[in-house]
Amino acid sequence: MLGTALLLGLLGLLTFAVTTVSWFRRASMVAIPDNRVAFLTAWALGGLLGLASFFASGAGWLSGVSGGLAVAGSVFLLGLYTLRKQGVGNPIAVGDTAPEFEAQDDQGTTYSSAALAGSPTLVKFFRGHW
Amino acid sequence: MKVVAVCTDSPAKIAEARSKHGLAGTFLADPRLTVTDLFGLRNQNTAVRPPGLPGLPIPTTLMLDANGVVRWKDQSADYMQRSDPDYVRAALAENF
Repeated sequence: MLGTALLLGLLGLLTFAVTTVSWFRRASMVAIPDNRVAFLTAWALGGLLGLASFFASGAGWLSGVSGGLAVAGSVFLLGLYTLRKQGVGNPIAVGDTAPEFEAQDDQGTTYSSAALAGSPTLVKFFRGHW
Repeated sequence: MKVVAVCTDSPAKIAEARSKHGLAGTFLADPRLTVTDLFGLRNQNTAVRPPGLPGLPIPTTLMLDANGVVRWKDQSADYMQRSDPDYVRAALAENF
């Protein structure tokens, strides 16, 4: 029979883990929904369950570890989410002429923007594996 | 139409992604954000930065005409939302 503390700790950790795996799976498919309330609530719930495990009866090292991981994980991801806002700065605008540039392609060959002249180009800036 | 993609991954990392995902087109490595800064596309929020990188770009799609003038731009305030391919195709058809 599991003690209350262990139950809460494991439940909190499970909630956190399922939510996190689901989030990153969707992220890899670029399918994170506009409305993320469900994810944020689930993370908060996981953290709260973990926190509750510290104060419940039967608290021991296992409930402490699972509860602690749930709290730490939820705080970390909720924190990252809070800091996600991009700072736009002073970007190039429609009507501007693209600057000249040089960069290495994935084969190590130097590529010059001069190669773009004469035909329309789609330029995509992305975060790579981040 | 030429397609050029720019990201902060190293050439080796891009080559790995290219073979893994079967990508075509020109991919440029910009680990120091030199090109990104020339276009003014660095994410100015420095609160969260990946280890080993000075920063990240704001994900942006640009369409340049034959003279290098920006004719269309798509940039999301939220990096978790990306330019939908149908949206880009529609803009391509309209502008070119």
